[in-house]
Amino acid sequence: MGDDDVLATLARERGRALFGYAYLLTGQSHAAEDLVQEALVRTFARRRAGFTPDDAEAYVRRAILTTFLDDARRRQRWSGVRHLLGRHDEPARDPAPAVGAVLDVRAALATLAPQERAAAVLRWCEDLTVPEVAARMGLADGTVRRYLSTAGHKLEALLGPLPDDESVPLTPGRTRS
Amino acid sequence: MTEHHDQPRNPLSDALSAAEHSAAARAYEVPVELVRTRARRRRAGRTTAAAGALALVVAGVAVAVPRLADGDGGLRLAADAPAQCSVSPAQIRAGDGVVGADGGDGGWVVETRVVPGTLQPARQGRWAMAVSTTADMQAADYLGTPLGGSIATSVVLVRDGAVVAVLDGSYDMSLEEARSVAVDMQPQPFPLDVDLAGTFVSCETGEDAVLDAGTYQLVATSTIRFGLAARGSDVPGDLHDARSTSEPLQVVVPAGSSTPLAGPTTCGATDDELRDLADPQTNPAPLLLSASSVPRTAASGKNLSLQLAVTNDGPAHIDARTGYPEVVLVRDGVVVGGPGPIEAIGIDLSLDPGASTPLDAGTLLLSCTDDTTPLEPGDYEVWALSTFTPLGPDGARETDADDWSAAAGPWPLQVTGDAVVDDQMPGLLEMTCGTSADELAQWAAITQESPLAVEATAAPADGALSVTVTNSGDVPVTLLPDHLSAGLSDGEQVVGMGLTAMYDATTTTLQPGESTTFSTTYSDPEGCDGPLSTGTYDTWAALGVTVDGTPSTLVAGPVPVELATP
Repeated sequence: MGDDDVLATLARERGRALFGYAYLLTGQSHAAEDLVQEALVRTFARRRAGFTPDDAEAYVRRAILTTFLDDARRRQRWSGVRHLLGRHDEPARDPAPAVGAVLDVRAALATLAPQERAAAVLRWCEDLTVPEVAARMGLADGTVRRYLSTAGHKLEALLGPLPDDESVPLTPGRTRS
Repeated sequence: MTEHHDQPRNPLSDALSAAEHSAAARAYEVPVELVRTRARRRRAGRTTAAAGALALVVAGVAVAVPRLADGDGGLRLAADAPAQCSVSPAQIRAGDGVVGADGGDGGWVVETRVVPGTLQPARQGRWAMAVSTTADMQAADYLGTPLGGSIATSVVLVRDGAVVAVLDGSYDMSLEEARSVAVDMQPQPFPLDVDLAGTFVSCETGEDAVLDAGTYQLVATSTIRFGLAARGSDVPGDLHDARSTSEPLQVVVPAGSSTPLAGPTTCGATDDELRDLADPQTNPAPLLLSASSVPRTAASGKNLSLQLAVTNDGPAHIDARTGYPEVVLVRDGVVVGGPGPIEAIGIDLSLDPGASTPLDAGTLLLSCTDDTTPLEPGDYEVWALSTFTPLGPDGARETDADDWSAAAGPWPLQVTGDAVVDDQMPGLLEMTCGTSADELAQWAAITQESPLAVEATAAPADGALSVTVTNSGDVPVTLLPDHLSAGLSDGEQVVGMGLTAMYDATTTTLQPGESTTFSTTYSDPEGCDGPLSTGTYDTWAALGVTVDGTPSTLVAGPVPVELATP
């Protein structure tokens, strides 16, 4: 299957899933669109042999995470000199209406700093263990635990208790993509 | 079978699935052709668009300006040339206007410009610029606050009356199209500023442009949606859509140069022009730039923050507008680092002769040839450059006056190889009424894991709470303190708040082993639920500080204090 076919298949079959992942990270649908587009460009800018849609999705998801964290670091550097009223480093909450628990989760994630949010999504939405989260984010296990500890406190205040056994997958039997 | 501990139900377990099936996801379609085109260009090895470039376009939008037949204007167009290539500059501007729900313009005047001092052109490769849009109506101040958002921004290069190149990733949207799309945005106050970075695509070849020497005009077109928000509200009503095109900005590409030509802060430029602009003998500009605080050491890859000052060195009062200064690093007389993309906000100055005002500046210590590579450790010189636009009595740009530029420097800087990495710093905490003592203890423990040792002490005689920060690492650390707050806890949670000391943006560099102290007061606290009773409380200190470019909250405590007077 050529790259063009892989892209078309990925877009058709997994486009919404990729958008959803980016949406959880950014909290804003427009930012999620930009993130998905950039990740797709990065992935398909390189020709690969035997590239399947499943392979592509894994690459794209990693590119979404990397681009999200890179963008967050770029925004952080001006935190000492920002003066604009009413503008914040963090993406604003999506003004599109959402319902009940879905809004609660997105609103809760929006209270986290970017690294905390990424760690929280990987740990509690994607069911990765702490070592797996650390590998994805390129950080030490201890650093990830710190982010999760901070994120966990904030999320629990809004959503209720979170599981705290870091070595065990959160959802027994759940298949990870 | 794997045994698992009893766990509470994970409230985020369905979050991914819910996001995938959300209304926003159902409305989303991957722009496959756009991705193919951008991937093809990037695969060809051209300079990539910056990861932080903002293409503020609703997905799936097509350009809706009228197309000329091929051959009009004498320019041969590539088959996959951007749509803006087919339009004359006059036709671009003809699509400008403001439209409300009633079809009228509501008396609004919308203007777009490329912000002076932000344009970083290149003969071949990546450009950067900030495009700013304003909306004014005579009665606006009395009716509310204009808030809006950018829908699409298009930037083109014009030469000899024809569009010859289009900024990759920028899009034009007509008013008609804007009226028909639902836009997801967080309304912002004006001016609406868009940072753009990327390569220009040649209309003739459809590939990344290599510009011939000569003069070009850069034209930006902005499509926005906005309205008036009542006082105290952040939701605009009476929405209007507007499209406005900037006045052409002249850009000169000289012959024989293969390096970017944007002035003295261009990557690879010599520091000759910076020296001229810093010397009042050679620079007649009436505004002088100087530094009041410049670190002498900084860690590679991290943020360098400066405190500058602008002084009116002339004989008359000056009103002018500027932005954040550009900061570059020079080595062996050549610009090798900075400036990064600068947040494009307007800073208005009003200075009598001899008067000064502070100006913050900074940059990341990254190579300017590749803005992800940290600078090599070693000795550098720091320069800052500002551009000032003179304003008339009405606050508008003086049409007959040129901009002024002024530089300051050089300041020696030692770039070190080891940095306090941002994942060692605690993150951000807002200590407030109700913050649990357990959480504060956890933050204090995390703070102690950082390379900074933080100790809080109380002075009952004057009710002072002091926080001493010591660099317990082996590399210098820069601190930009923001605030210090004191919270009084009853052992369970914060029940009263002392004074919060706020700090001016002054950077301090702590050498290894060096300490600095910050103070506030805990006496006469404000109780969270009425006046606090006399007795002993645990006092916690929360210091908001940016450490080597990483915003952090350092927590220390608890320190027992006695409140003798309710």
